[in-house]
Amino acid sequence: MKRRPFSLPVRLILHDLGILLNVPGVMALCSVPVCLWFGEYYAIAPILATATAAIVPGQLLYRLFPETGEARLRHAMLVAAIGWGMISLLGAIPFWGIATILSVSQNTPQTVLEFQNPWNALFESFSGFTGTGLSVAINASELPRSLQWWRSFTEWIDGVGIIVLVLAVLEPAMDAYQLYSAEGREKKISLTVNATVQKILWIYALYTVLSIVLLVVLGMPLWDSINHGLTGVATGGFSVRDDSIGTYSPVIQLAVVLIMIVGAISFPIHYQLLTQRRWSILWKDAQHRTLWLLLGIGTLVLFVENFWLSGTFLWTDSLFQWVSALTTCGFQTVELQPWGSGVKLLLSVAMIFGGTAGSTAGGLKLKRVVTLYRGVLWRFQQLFLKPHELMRYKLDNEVLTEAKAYRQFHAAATLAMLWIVSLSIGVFALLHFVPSEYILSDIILEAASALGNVGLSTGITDPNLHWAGKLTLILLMWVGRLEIVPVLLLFVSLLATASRVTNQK
Amino acid sequence: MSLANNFETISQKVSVGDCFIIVQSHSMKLIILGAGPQGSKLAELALKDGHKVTIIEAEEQRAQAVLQKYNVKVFHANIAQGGILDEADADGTDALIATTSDDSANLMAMFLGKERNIKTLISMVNEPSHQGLFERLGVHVIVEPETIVAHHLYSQLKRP
Repeated sequence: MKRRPFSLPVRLILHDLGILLNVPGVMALCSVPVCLWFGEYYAIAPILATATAAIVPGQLLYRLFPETGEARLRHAMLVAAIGWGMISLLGAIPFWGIATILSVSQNTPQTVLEFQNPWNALFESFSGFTGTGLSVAINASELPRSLQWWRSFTEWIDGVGIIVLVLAVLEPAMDAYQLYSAEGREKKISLTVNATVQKILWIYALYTVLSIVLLVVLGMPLWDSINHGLTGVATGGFSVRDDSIGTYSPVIQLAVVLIMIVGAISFPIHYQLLTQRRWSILWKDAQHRTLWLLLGIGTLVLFVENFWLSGTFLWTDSLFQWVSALTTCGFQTVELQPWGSGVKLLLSVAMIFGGTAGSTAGGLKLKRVVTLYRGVLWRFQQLFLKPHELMRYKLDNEVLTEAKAYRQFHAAATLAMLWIVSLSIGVFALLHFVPSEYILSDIILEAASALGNVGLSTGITDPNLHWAGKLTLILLMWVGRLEIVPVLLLFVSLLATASRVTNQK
Repeated sequence: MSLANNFETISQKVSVGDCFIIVQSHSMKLIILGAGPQGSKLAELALKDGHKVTIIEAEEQRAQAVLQKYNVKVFHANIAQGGILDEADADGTDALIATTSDDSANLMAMFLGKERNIKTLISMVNEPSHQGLFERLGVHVIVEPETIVAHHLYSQLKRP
């Protein structure tokens, strides 16, 4: 019998990565009509190159490692971590390629030329495929239509990706962090997309179309509506305008607020709303109740804080920026740098919290925020317990056993700790590469924005930022989108393999 | 209403009207000994009427199960352990109901309840010959399910 290279889990991972590589390939092929429609024929070569660079190795891996099988949670996480990085690397090709081709021409705008620097191309692609929306394109309106489309499309696909990741990989395992518990390690995970997830993706598509229609009806130009519809529901945040949503009327801004909130509601809940019409679920579910409370209270506090600092009423701006931060969308209507440090820190907290689990939003996710809050309450309740009294662990209308309650809290607390450590490392690293006009609160906001896949920026994200600064932000975006654990797992696995290879020699 | 009915059938010495007033007029604090089938069902009925329920159960699994099911305070302890009624705040309690299958535990609970001047003391009696023992304490007694059903049927008969 022929001896096969690699162990079975590795072969399964390579097989799955082969399938995932089709994603940027098919995306590139879908983008060709956009180039043709707008007569940007120079863009076709880089986009076809992307398709080739994705599909050829993808098919090779797929055919060389034909075994299919149910991967364990660990393997599914590794596939997600590597896959997300790999797709983002390939997604940089159109930026770099189009910029390089256009650099021959005299009147190419500076914004486009910046993408000749591979770091800028990589940054934009990672920002897109992680649904972040931090952009090194200073004047996004000057980008070719093909690149504007590519940016928006990457964010929209990220929305699909995160829904599938959570619903097909992480949720069936109860919680991603059951990795620590015995069942989690043994649980078999299938990477296939089941019928419910398929329906949920249709809802995602439907909401995208409705958002585009809404924006067109309210007077946004069609091309802008398509792009903002795609990046709004995906809570991505790339814009095709230099001033993001600040370009448009307050009515359109409020419509965008609505779209961002829709994107931050858990899609399984959307599914229940559409199929059963039970509106009460939006309030009964603890995660969503928290979303509404945070949206309301946050807007008010931000408004008061802004009034305190500047003495002007910034109703719409406070509302818009707060919603944008909490839903991790990242559209902006104002320059953030002149705002006070207190406001920036508040926005950073919103960006750390993020939207609901099961939506396209990033951040810690409100489900974990609720669990952490409950855990703190439990700690205090225990202090008041009598010697023989049993503790009642209630979470989200369900009474849990002590073991389960602690596992949930442990998972959420672990992630929160990892989140804070990542943020601190990110802030510390950025401090060394950021121009001196930016103060600490600017840097915290930028790092929280990258880690929470938001996209609000104080201006630190810039084509002229030191490459190490861009790399820091790229790593934060990647780590944040996958909720840290899968990426840590990847590093640990690589280290373990490396040490095994060294020992064999 | 169902709880009121139970009261009515089980307590020959208290008039029907009295009991009805107790149940309906205000939210009571009840301590139930035992989280077996009868104990937890009683808790369910009492909770439905808006009363506060505390359960004392010696067996951990039963204690956990009733805790998951109902919004009640649960003490995992044996009634024979000293001070458990004080822990359960017996002084402010309106009624103590013993539902275990162990008459000695039930009797002990009734004694302790009497000592703390709990207004209403009710106990299940598993061995009919113990009935007198309980009644001498001034406890309302429920002897065997069959007897309860018979009483209930008989009370229906008395009504026109």
